[in-house]
Amino acid sequence: MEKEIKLSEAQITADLYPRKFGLPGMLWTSLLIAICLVGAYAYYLQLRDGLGVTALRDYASWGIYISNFVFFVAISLVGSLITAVLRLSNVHWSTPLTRIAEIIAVSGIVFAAIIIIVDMGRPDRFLYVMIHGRLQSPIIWDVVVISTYLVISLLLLYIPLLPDLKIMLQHKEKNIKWLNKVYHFLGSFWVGSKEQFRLSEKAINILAVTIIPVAFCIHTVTSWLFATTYRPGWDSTNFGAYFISGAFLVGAGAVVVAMYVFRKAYHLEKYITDDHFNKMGKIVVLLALLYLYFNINEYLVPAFKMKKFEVEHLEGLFTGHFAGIFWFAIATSMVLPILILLFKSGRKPLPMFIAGLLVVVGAWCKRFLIVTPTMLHPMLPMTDAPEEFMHYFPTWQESAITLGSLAGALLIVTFFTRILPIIPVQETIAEQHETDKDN
Amino acid sequence: MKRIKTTSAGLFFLLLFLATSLSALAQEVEKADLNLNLRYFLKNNKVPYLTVETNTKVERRFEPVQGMAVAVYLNEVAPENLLANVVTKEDGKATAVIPPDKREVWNSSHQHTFIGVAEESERFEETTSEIEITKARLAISTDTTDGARNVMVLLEALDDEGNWIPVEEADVKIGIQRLNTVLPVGPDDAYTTDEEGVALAEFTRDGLPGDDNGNLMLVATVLDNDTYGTLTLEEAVAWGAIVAHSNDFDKRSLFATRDKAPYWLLFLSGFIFFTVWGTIAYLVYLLMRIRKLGKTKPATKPEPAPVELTPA
Repeated sequence: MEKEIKLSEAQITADLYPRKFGLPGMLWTSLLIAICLVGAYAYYLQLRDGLGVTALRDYASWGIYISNFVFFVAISLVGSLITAVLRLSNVHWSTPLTRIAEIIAVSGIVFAAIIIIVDMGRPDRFLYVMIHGRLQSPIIWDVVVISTYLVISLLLLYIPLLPDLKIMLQHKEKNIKWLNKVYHFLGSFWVGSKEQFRLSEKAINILAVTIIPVAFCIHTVTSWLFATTYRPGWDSTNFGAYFISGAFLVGAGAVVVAMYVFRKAYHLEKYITDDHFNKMGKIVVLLALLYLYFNINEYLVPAFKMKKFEVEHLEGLFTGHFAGIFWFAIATSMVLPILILLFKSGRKPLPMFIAGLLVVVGAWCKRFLIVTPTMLHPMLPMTDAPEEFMHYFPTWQESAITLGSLAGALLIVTFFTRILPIIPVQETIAEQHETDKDN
Repeated sequence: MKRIKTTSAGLFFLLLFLATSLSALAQEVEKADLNLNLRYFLKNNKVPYLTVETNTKVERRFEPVQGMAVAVYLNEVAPENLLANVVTKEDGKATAVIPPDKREVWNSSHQHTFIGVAEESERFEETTSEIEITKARLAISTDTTDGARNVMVLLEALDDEGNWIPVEEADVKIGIQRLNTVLPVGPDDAYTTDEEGVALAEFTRDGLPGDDNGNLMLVATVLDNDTYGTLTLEEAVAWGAIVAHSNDFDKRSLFATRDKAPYWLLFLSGFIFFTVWGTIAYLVYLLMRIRKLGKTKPATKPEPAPVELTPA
């Protein structure tokens, strides 16, 4: 058990107050902006010349855009895990991680929505989804549930932020001038009265209860986009649970990476302690084991039966064209993190960071493997199709847009840390008071 | 010495060239055998037609010959008797009908000869095939005696005086048309005509699904008869079970258009949607209350002085 460190209110506020970027922060932000700009230019080319600039064709009509979409939806689920599940379980140690989880959730879900419009080719067609959409289609359910989840995630980010906004408004001179108007608009009405606290607590509790089924819905419905079609690799009744377990894992991995980076960059060792890493490590290893269990089910059972239409798909994954990336994804997203995190020494910040990174990278590859190989193995044989239709490798425009979207999500998180406390100040002070009282 | 070598080499290449050329010529001379078959069809006693079938033996197997041009003549090979010029398709088959301008010749006799001529090509020699056909017709009648349902098929041929006479000892298949095949009406596949030209079969397929009115399509076929060709006649008979087909088209279903979503889906999705968005609306209401409290009510305790950002 780590020794409790007594911190004054002033010190907590000073430690957690948003700070100007140093040189590494500026370089990091510039790099992200540059990647986003290249992505924006590639998107301009796609808008100008059509989806033909991508490698998406008749067969592989879903490529890295949809893989990226599934990845973003998955990573966004962490908001419900850290904020809601742990809150409702009366777990208090997660307080410093809630806002990290929520901003990852919001940025993830924003870019999930953006990338799906990118995949449509013509953005104006999104309007058609609204006008001509069929309620019977899981795509419509996905549109509805993503919008709902975005709103709930924003509320879950915003309401606990109110006391911190008040703190921000108390130190206007330290803030970027024009942002004071934003803080004023968002939080000037917060006076910290008992009644306001009571109502905000009530709202957060309702949100915590609401977000769990909605989070389950968002990823279950995303899995149904695949599972409701009769295709090798997708024709599974297990897909909802499989997707949710994978989503919790990648979300937790992302939080671990963010914890390490924020702790290092802002010297938050007193707030994001080794104990936090240890506990998050246990959560990640549990989720990795759970996801491994679902993967075994998802691949071993069809491989045991080797139904005729599954053979080519499974052989492609196990020993064929996609074998490299398949085994890489299995190793990085599950096996290696489990091996690292099962041991206490592996649940230290640096090994945890490495394990988290492996989980996130492996998870992206896993989403690619869920989407693309199945598209290249249709039920009916590919005949009278040009050679390029039978393979899929993303073009530079497609890759640039995808990387741009990933950079964009990171940019949201980065800007958020610059303008708002990434660890809840008021809650940390309140918890410190509670600890002082107990002592 | 050098000259001899040069001459020898020249002779060698000359012989090689000659050998290659002769071999090529020999190959050109050896043409494959073409099998050309004509078949005569008459369906429902209406317009007769012919099929031309071509195949050749390739490595012990008969394979259809595609793109073979065949001229079909009536009675004798002469330009004025040309019925059709046809080209075989992928399956080695082509179809020819008797054109209206040959109707008079066709009606003039009870017997005709069809001659197919495949002209010489790079692969095949000129090939000729012919069939002689006597005009014939089928008629179907049915009756029910003591609960037994009988099908009588009458086969008649035209004689040289223009009279229809019964055909004895001919095999007739009697069946019921199903989706892709013809199901025999009884235990036997084919029935033989008697001295009156009638083939009698008992219908034993009780309860067989018919169309909306319970109609079954009886099919009588004289198959590849050397004298009469292939004759087919269909006749509807109300011996089938009436099947009421349920049509789901344009009904509310998961695969219908957007305005035909099933009620259960509308109700369920609507319930979920309004429950969740109702909760969100309530949360917005709570936020508005928090906002109102801050604007109208002073804090319960005096505003504390802002803490210094630099820790002591």
